[in-house]
Parts: sequence; C-alpha cells; structure tokens
Amino acid sequence: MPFIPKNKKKWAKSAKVWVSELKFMLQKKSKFSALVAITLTIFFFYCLRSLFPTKASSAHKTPATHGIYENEVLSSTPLIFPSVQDHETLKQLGVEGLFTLRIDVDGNREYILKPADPPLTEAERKELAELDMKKFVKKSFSDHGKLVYKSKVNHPEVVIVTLIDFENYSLDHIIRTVQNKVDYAQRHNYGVYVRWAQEFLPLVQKQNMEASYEFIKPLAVRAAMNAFPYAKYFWFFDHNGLIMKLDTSLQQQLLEPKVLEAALLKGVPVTEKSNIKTYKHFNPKNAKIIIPKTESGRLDTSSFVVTPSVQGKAFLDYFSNPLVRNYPWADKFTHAIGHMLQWHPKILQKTALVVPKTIASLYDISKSKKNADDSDAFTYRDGDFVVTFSGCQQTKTCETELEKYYQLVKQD
Amino acid sequence: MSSSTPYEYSYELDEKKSMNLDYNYASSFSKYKKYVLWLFLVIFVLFWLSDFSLVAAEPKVVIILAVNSGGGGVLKWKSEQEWAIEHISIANKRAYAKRHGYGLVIKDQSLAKRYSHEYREGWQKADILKQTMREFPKAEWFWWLDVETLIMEPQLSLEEHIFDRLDEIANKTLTDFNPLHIATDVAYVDYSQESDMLITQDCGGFNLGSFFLRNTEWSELFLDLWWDPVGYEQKHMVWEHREQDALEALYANEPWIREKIAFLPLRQINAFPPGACADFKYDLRYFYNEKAHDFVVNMAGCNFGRDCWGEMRQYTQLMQTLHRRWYSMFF
Repeated sequence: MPFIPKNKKKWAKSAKVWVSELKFMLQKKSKFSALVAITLTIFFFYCLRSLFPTKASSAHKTPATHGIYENEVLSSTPLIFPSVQDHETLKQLGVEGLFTLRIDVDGNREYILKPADPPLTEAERKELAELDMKKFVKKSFSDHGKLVYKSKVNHPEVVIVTLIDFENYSLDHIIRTVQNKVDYAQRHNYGVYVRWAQEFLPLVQKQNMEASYEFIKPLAVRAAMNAFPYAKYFWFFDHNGLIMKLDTSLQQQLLEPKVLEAALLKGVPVTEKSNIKTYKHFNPKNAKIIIPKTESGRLDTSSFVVTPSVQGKAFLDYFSNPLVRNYPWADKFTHAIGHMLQWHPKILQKTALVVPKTIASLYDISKSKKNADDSDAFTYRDGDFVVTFSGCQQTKTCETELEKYYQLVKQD
Repeated sequence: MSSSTPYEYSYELDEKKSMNLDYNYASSFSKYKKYVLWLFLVIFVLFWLSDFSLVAAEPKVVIILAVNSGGGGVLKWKSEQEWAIEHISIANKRAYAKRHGYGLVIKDQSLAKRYSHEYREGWQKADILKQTMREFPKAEWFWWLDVETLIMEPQLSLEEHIFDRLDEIANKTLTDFNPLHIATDVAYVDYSQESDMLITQDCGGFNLGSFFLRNTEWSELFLDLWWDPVGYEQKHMVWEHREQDALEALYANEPWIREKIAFLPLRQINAFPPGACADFKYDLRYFYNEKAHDFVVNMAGCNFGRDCWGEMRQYTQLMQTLHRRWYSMFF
C-alpha cells in the first residue's frame, strides 16, 4: 500500500469538492463575508490601478488657476493693503520707473508687466531694503499684487475693495481712506483688498490714470475674487469716500434680502431716459450685482457690490474686454454698465439697482451745512452709512472734504 | 358504493353555485365605489402633477439642424440640388435621432429682415439656440449642425462617442493646437470647471458648423452676451465669420467664457472633405478618413466654388458602402 501524505491529499481535492466546500462556506458564514471578500479584491485592484496613471488622465494637463501674476504669496491676514509709506518713493519713480516700457516698430509705447515675475522671499526683502530703497519699493509694488488669502478657517464673507493713487493724492489722504476701511473691516471680520490703481495700468490700453481709472475698478474686483476665493461679496468702495457708521455691518445695511427688498428700485429706467426698465418682480435673493442709482438717474460706480457668481464674473470680464473698454463711452464705466444692462437681460435679471442712501450717499457742497430737517433721500445727512465725494475732482476738494468728514466718523 | 355518497352534499354545492350566480355585482361595486373613486383621483392627480407619462419623455439630447443658411428667403431661388441636399441631410439626422432617442429640430436660417443689417447677421444662431432652449427646458445637451453635414457612423450614440469620455478626448486649453495663436495661459481661468460648450477648430480657427452646448445657466448667459452691438459696431468689417469671430474674441478676452469651453478634435464631430482647408491638404487632422470611421463629415464652405451636391452624393454613397452587411446582397 503506497504511502500518501496527508497534506498532499488535502490539496489534491477534485474541483467538485472545492465547489461544494465553497457552497458550504457560503451557507455557513452567510453571503456577507463573501461580499466583503469580493469588495476587498476589487478595492485592491483599484488601488493597484491608481498607482499607474492611465493615458487619459495625463493626456490634457490643464494649468492651475492664477491671477495676473503666475506666482502667489499667501497673506497671513485678510487685511491686504500696500505699505502706504512708499508713497513718496513711488511718486519719484513714477509709472515709467515701475514697469518695463515696450516700444514697437510703429512707435507705440506700452507698459508691460511680467506675469512670471517671482516674488521675493522674506530674507531677500530684508537684504534689499538695506541695499537699495528704490529697488525695494519697486519690487514691493509688484509683489503686492501676488498676495492672496486662502485660509478657509474664518474666511471673510465680505471683502472691501479700494484703489489708491500715489500720483494724484497725498499720503495723508491715502492713510485716512485706507485706515477707515481697515477699521471697519476689523470690526466685522471682513477682508480688505487695497491696491495701487497704477498696478493695473499695463493691463489697459490707455495707460494713464485719468483715462483708465474707471475701468481699473472691475479689474481690481476681479483680482480680489482671486485673492479671496471663499468670500461671498465684494464691495468696491472708492478711495474718495468714507464709511461713517463703523458699527453697521454691510449685511444689516444692504445685503439681507429684507433690507435689499426695501432699497430696490423696481420698474425704473435703467439709465437716464432709457426705455429699458428694471424688473418689477425682482427677488432680492437673486441679486448678484448691486449698483446704486443716483437722483439724476446715473449709475454710481463709486460703490457697488459684486458676487463671485457666473453673472458677477461675466459682469466684470465684460468691462475688461478691450472692445468694450475702449469704446468711446461718453461717461466711461457708468455708460458701459448702462449699455450692458440695457442689452443683456440675463444680467439685468440679476442686477439690483438700489437707492444711493444705502452704500453711496453723496456729499453735496451746497448742502454741506447740515440741516436736521432736510429730508433729502440722495445726499449725505448725519447718520448715513457712508459718504462719497464723487465729483470732487472737478472742484479739487477731495482731500479737504475727506479730512473734514474723517473727523466725524463715529468710532463707536 | 356510489350510492353511499350523501345526496345532500351535492345539493348543498348546487345551492351555493346558484347563490353565486345570483350575486349582485353592481351592488357590491357600489359598496366600494368610494374607494375606487379615491384611487382614480389619486392616480389622476399623480399624472397631473408628476412628470410621469406613458408617451416618450423629453429627450436628453436635441439636435438642431439649421437649413437655408446661405441667404435664401426672398433673396435667392432655392435650386433643385439645394432641395436635394436638404432632403438627404434631414433624413440622415432624423434616422440618427430616432435610433438613439434624441430630439431633432429643424430651424430655418434664411435671412430674416431683422438680421439684415450687416453687423446683425451673426445674431441669428444665438437666437435659434435660445429659442430651442426654451422649447426643450429639460434637455441636457444641444447639438448644432449645419445643413451640409452627414452623420457617417449612425450606430454610435453621442454618449459613447463623446459625453462619456470627455476627459479623454476634450482639451480645455489651446496648447496642443492653436491656429489663431491666442494666448494660452491667462489670468483667472479655472480649467477645473465642467465644460458647457464643446467646439472644434479647423485650419482657420474656431468652427461652429457642429458644436455642443449644455443646458446650463452659463450657456444662457453666454448666448445673451455673445451678440453685443459694441463689438459688432467696431468689428463688422473685420469679422467675416461673424459669430465665430465674436466667439474667438470672447474666448481670448473673457476668462468666464474660456473656462467653460473645451475643444474636440475636428474629426471627432466635424471632419472636412478634401476640398475644405485646401492649403493644408496634407494635414491629416482635418480630413475625413473612412478607414478611421470618422463620425461626421461637414462639407463646410462647399458653396464657395465647390460642388455641394457632388460631395453630398459622394458621401451618401460612401456611407452606404461602409454600412453594407454580408446579408444585404440578398435584398
């Protein structure tokens, strides 16, 4: 009788036995364990597969989203504003000293910026600050545009966007206007995004402040959207304006649907003498763009709110399209917005025109002596949320008026 | 033994039967009438309120076929051959739509008076798309096709040919193929967004003879902003391909448009016959290849010095040979 080892016999079972044993196992240990085994096997193969990237996923690599500059610097605080004390040096350097000037064969002069410009590290900054002040200021100027705030924790819901101008305004004016916005933002946990308006000159075709300041506003708001990716509202507020009631939040003042409903202008001509009227049935919850409309029917571009929605981005990008920007508008940005709202109902559907008392009470030179019983609904009165000095450039009173009102800001 | 069976038993059975026959069905129904009515009411309300219906549901994909695009209307007499081309083209799309359960709308693109000003002509395409979107609010995709196109491989569904493998075939950037030399990397574009518009590029730039548009908020807004008098007033002498040029300008300058557009290879949905793009006749990316079984052939520009009817006939015959089966010899 030949000797057959026990273990050999065990493995030499016929297929039938294996199947029947498996069936028994299934019955015994219930179908659940079998399912678990199958799931684990599939998962194992899936993990194996992901180790080797397939052709499809690597076929079309798309670049990451970035701002005007390809590199970004993470800001530790949601209060982003440039070092205003560089004002004097910047003024000396001038726009021609801050950007590269390119002259083409036809003699067209154009300032350009370098999107791939790498930011300085902290050590390099310290070193450069001691070596060459002018170079340091120039580098800080271009590095400022790379700042972004990407912390998801405690990300501000509202970001106040302001442009400041070192060519035409004094340091005192700039300090006051920036301080006012920072004071306000700090109270309500908002973000602040202040940029030198001159930073955007290479992106426009008419490269001077007088011609292009208005069209730099949408560019600045778009840059703010990139810098604060999780914010919900972007409030552009002009540097010639002050927030007078620091303790009122923008939500209480304007954004809450009930408040917005009360401030809405329904069924009014979009611009002066327009046949197109705003919608009579407008749900304030649908508002993606909020623009105040003045007494004379003019759309006020000194203060407006845009959300980072499809409509909001389309709104901003539209004005940054050279075809639109360089069209000979009689009243620049204001008329361009008027045109857009009249021709594009899908934007008008989502745009709330509101009374200027909300975010753009205009100061009035003739009525600057405060009358307590003055029931004017358009110009600034004591107790209004903000005051704007639109039109002060003509009378050259921007700085004096702002200084005067700055003393009146209610600190608490 | 049989007599031992009790007589009474069968008698009782008969008694029951006769009782059953006598039973008043009408009166028993009246007992449940209330419930039956309630049931009917519930079903009626359900049908009324819900989307459920026994007739075919609204299609997920709607093909828009534009006819009479070469002026037409009162300006031009439509020739016999043009009628024939239209006929073949419509039959081709109708068969395809029927086979895969898609919708088909045929839109007249003849020159309407309100578009007659030179810088308004490009408006019509956007208007037709908007109109169709209103007609089919539940459709997911719209496929625009010019009349001089033929679907050569009708057995392929759009899902298996395109929508299910967008990651593989669609390119969100222009880095690989950029005949217009548009800047490829611009600020603020979020390429991770889902594409809402699928277009192709030929040798001269964007081609809108065959493209897809998804039914989304973005698409509605885009159709609204595509036509803008400010652009056309400045460019109507330069933009000879009207809406195509306008789209190129929007793509180049507005990031919110760019992030939603993806490019398919031309031969995926819009292959050209050898006559088109004649300056690039050795570039295989443009031209229909029967061995590769390209999906659609577009006889773009055939009415500019080429023979539309001849090409149409040639491709119809080719399609028949390609899809001939061994058993077709018996018929």
